[in-house]
Amino acid sequence: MTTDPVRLLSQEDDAFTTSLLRSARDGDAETARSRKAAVLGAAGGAAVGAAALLAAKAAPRAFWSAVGAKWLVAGTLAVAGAAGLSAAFLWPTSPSPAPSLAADPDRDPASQARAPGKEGAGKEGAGKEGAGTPEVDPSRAAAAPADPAASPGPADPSAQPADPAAESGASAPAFPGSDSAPDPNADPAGEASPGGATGGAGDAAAARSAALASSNASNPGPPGAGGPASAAVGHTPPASAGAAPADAASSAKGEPALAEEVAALRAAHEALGKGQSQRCLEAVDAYFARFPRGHLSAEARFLRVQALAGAGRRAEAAALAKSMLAASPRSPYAARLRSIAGEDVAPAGQ
Amino acid sequence: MSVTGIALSETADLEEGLRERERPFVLDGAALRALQEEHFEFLWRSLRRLGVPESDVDDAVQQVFLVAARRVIQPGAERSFLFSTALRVASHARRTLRRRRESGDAVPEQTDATPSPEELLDQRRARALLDDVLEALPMDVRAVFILFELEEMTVVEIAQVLGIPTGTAASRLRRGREMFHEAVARVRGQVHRKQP
Repeated sequence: MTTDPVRLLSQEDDAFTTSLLRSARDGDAETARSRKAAVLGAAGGAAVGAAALLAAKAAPRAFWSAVGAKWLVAGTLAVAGAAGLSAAFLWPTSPSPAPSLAADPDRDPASQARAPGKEGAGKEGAGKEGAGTPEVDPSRAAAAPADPAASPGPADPSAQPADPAAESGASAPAFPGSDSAPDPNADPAGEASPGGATGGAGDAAAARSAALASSNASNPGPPGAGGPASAAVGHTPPASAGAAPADAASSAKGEPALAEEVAALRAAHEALGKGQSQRCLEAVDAYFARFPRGHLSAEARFLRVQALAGAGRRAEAAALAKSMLAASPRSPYAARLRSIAGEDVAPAGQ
Repeated sequence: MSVTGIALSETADLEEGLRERERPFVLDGAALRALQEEHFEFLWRSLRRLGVPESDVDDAVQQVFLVAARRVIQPGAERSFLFSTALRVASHARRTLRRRRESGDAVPEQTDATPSPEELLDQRRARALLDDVLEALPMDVRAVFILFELEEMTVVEIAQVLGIPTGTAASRLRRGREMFHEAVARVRGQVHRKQP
């Protein structure tokens, strides 16, 4: 049996050495604690389509895995949302702007859906701790006790923002006026919410953790897992009806439609892969004609940007990329959009 | 996007990166969550001390859990598995960092080596200097050193976590301490020279 030597911090009387060691022993421990709260808390709360974020880092080749993952996330959206609800309650620094949200019956679902995006965008520069996150998630969750019946509702938007899968579904009812607008460019607001909220989280790792959690949650039995929870969403009162029914609908009968959407986009993606930009554009147009409010509209738009760029229509590609970035600066595709838009650095404050 | 962010495309370069991705999840959500709850802080501290820049540690921690989620880990061996995975992730992150330094890309969080005495008192400054000191230790030695001196594990525990004989752990600790003191003297000299 070895006898351990005395630790340097206990025996060393050189102030310089001990200050170095102490900085790591105490400082790291402290930071680790706060990062755990931020990352795991956010992950639990925001069922984030971090899978998509994740994929964004791995950009093109991860396209389909992102699509797949996002649907795993969507399938278990409600489950993760419910988990997020409890996690958000545990949030250590919950500033609770919740009452104002919950107590404001005049606030329409659309503005609720968009609010986090704007807040998040505004606070994007606020630093690594993701100042937006604690405000967004706990507020959603804290609305629950105020109105127990509404609990599935708040969970939903909190899960929705970072999940581009939910984005189009959720944004559609929130913008009834845009129903007839198949052109995705016309409705950047649909992206503003998820993008901004992700920005609020300001925390790719948190998102990644959520991806991990949500892909896992879906692992045992993918879309079925969303069943009971999405049933609960059906009880959502009108206040949060903006986002919820779309999810309920997509969970309930979304599978065939989803498969069709994926198939439709696969054609576009394959065309792009073969360098057939025109065919890709046609396939994207066909996709939007068929699914004006499709769940993969962000992917479709991204494909369109790439195809335009590939076809040498760089100005159009850059313009579209810019509009997508403006609407959703933290989009999973932001990095690539920026390079196509000719912006090397993310515009601050967007 | 952080400049030093460990892009996932780079993760794919990790020896088992690609295979990992295709591997199905073994842990269910609850089990993974429990694993994260229990080991997040340990991993965060360890990765940081193994040389991952602070801005990248969150990502690195998640990479470790991503690997863990796809593995069957023997009960009781979690910490050992996680730490050895963290060692791989940290080595890779450091290689990436070194490449970027060599290629002249901006690498934040390097010490600028012109601290005032006040700054020296600052914990962040001290932490950055410690990074410099620990850089002098080879990874295997560094692992033992940080687990013993900072994590305050016993040599026996360290040997278990690293899966090495106790004697090896003890000798690495000895070497680590020697190298640590040498590096501290060097860094101290630099700091003093820079001071007016």
